Amino acid sequence: MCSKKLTATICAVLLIITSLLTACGSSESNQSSGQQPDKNQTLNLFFESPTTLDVNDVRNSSEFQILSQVQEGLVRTYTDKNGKEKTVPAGAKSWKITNGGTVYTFKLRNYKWSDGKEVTAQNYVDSVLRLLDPKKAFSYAFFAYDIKNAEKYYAGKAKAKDVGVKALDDKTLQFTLEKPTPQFNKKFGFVALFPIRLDVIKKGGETYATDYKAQVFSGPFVIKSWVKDNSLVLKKNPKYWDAKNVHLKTVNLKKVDETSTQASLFQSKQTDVIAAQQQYIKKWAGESKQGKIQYIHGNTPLTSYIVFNQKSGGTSGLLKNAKIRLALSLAINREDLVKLVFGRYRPAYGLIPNGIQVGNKDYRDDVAQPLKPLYDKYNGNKSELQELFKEGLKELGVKKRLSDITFTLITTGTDALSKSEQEYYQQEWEKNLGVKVKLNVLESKLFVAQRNANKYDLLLNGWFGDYNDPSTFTDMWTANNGFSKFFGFYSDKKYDAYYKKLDGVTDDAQREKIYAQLEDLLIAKDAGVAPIYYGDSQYFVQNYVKNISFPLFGTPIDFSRAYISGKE
Amino acid sequence: MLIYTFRRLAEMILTLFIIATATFFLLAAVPGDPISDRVEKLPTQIRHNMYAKYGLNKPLLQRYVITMKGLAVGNFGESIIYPGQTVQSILHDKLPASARLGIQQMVLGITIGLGLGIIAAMKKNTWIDYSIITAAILLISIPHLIFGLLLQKMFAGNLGWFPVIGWPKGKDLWTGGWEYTILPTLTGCFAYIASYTRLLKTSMLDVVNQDYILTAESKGISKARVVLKHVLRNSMIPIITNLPMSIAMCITGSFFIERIFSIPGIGMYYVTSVNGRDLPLIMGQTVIISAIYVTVIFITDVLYTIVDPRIQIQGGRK
Repeated sequence: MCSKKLTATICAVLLIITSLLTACGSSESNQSSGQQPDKNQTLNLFFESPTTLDVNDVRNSSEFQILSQVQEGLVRTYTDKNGKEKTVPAGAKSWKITNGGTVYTFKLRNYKWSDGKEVTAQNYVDSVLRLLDPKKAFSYAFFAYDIKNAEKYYAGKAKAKDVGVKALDDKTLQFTLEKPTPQFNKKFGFVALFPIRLDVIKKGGETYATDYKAQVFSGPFVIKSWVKDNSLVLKKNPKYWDAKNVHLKTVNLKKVDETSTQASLFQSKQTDVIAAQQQYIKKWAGESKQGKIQYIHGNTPLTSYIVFNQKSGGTSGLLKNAKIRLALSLAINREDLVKLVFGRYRPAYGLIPNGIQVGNKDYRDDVAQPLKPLYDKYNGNKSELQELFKEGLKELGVKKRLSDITFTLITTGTDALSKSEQEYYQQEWEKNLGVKVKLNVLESKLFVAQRNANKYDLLLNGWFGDYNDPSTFTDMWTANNGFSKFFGFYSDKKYDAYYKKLDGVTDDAQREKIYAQLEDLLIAKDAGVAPIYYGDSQYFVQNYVKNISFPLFGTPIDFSRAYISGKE
Repeated sequence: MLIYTFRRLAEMILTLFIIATATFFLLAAVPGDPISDRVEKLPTQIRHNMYAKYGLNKPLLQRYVITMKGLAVGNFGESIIYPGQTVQSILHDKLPASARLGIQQMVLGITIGLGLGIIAAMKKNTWIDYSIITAAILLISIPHLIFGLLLQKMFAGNLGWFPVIGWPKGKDLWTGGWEYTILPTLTGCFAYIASYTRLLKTSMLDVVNQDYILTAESKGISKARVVLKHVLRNSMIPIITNLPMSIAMCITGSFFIERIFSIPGIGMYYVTSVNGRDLPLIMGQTVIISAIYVTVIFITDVLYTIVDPRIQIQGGRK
């Protein structure tokens, strides 16, 4: 399981995950062909109970996990054996993009709801309009903002008929975008845009969202039973369009909060997949080397940061200076942190984590991490770091000795791991820069209050991307946008100017170049934020589970084409 | 007695009103609201719409009046964190598991506790007494969490005698699936064993030193008869007055035990609703639990008069 501190800080900010346990995703799947499926096709998993079964109202990975397996959207994303994502047509048979990248026309497959009715293009149109209904106040409404007039409709400034989504006939769906937006390619498969049945929702009434008996399903499985916040059972959907490739007959999902209980269930093979937990990684990785279990690890679209208060310069008043920020950023030895404190993750010297793609190419394969050259020069070199810091003080006209300076770090984590992490930063700054650091650990709602009141110098935060494009990491750093308060009110006119250049650019190579400029400016030149580590996804899977997928976005696990072989 | 009952009833309603009001304003004074975490990352327009949807944009006093009106007619409102769920529906779904677990723990714990208490009192100042009391203190000091995990690892993990997690459902809800309930019951019963052992021992020793026991013994009545007829009956007063409180506590669930054994009980909801500032749930739960407690206190007072004739209720005074 990912660190609790992460859960605390990121959840305070991010909607997409409330539980990193299930939110880490991605990696290679064990696709060994030629193995015969067993007779008993039952998969046992842990899960977080969803709060709703309403696709438009999805909030986090617990809903993505269930809804992605019981409903069918336009496409489905799997991971191949190298951990690379592959998106294949699902509800859509094919599509074409025309008018300079602004019109998307989908041909839908002939597939049915579990009550026998055909899935129609109108079901998709209804979904988009309902998602954007201002009265419903769905939190993922903004995900449809690329569509023409969507944002205006949500704000009550346009009519439903003006929104760029149309059913040309029963099986042809058309989106018209506001402007060319290549990222939309990575968004249209999102759960909140899955088709819906207005008649079923109306019939279900007030409890529709949490009553599984009131639902109809279009995906590989149907819900057989659900004890809220405890357990859920899925059965294969015989009416599914690709039922012949769905092997699992039953999937039992159980909510088990205690990590040691999870471990004993996994060790006694009563559960088949477990997210890596810090205290067991070594032991289980060893067992995987002996071939007893599968160890599946890969990227997750998460970067953790240390945020500098650039609104007021912080309680110390020093953080408006880029050199001081850079010195603070470079003073932290990231390799030791991931090795000694976490025992996992990857040191971060950039904004965009591994696994994020521009088009179909990994961004990080092409673009070097901007902070790395500076880090190699300064880290471990105390006197040069302090010199950099002092230059900053001089620029500010502050005449203080380093030992007279105190920074306040606010955070939320209270567990042992978070404590070690916080103390690690404190020691690194005190040791390498000679400044003092005060740790202020707060309950999450108090943390938010303190942050909004600007009573901090530094805070720990992170960002979990929403879709597979660098823009999900670069969008929120422009001046005065809604996210500024999470990121210390970073603002630079140059950043805004670079960002504007992205407008309407559809060429991937050109986009990649602009993203690289943005990243370099933010992380190295401005030191507007200090990236610390990239998250990862680590799962242990029983040997008899085959062909299971861990996509980077949306559902943590896709088991729709998985099967059991060799358990009996 | 009738006047007394009416007066107590009026007092109970007033108490509940004060508790509800205090809870409401205390929650309003604490930073954060139920949806702040969820809406933080969202564009401004979406944030506004969400606050409006849950009525959180209304002035404080207006929200207070709406909440209290709802409480008066037993409508606590829909949970903000769990859409479509109300306090009533959560209690309906989750209370049975918590109640069965609590009752089993209590019945087993109190039975063993009383037995050990008698033995400890009879053998006072011997090694038997010392070991029982030491064990009781030790057991009550070990947190549920550790105890549960230990039992789970030993008897479910290593020995495989019982299932690691789970709880009977459907037709087994109340009377079947005993193998699932054994470890959680054991985990929770030690608290009862410990407290009732010590309670009964202390109270028996008090009684043993009374003159009437001396009289009974000097009349030549057998020791067993003295204990059963005189000592035990009189020692029961603190036990009986403690019992209603134990019952009230046992049905409200245990967060840790339910968590360790993945029991679909009510315990989790208290913790998550407070952390999430889920106002309708917090208000509903607080009022219901307070109602149970004030009722229990009333019953306890009445019980006093039954088990101890020296205490009487007269004309609204006791």
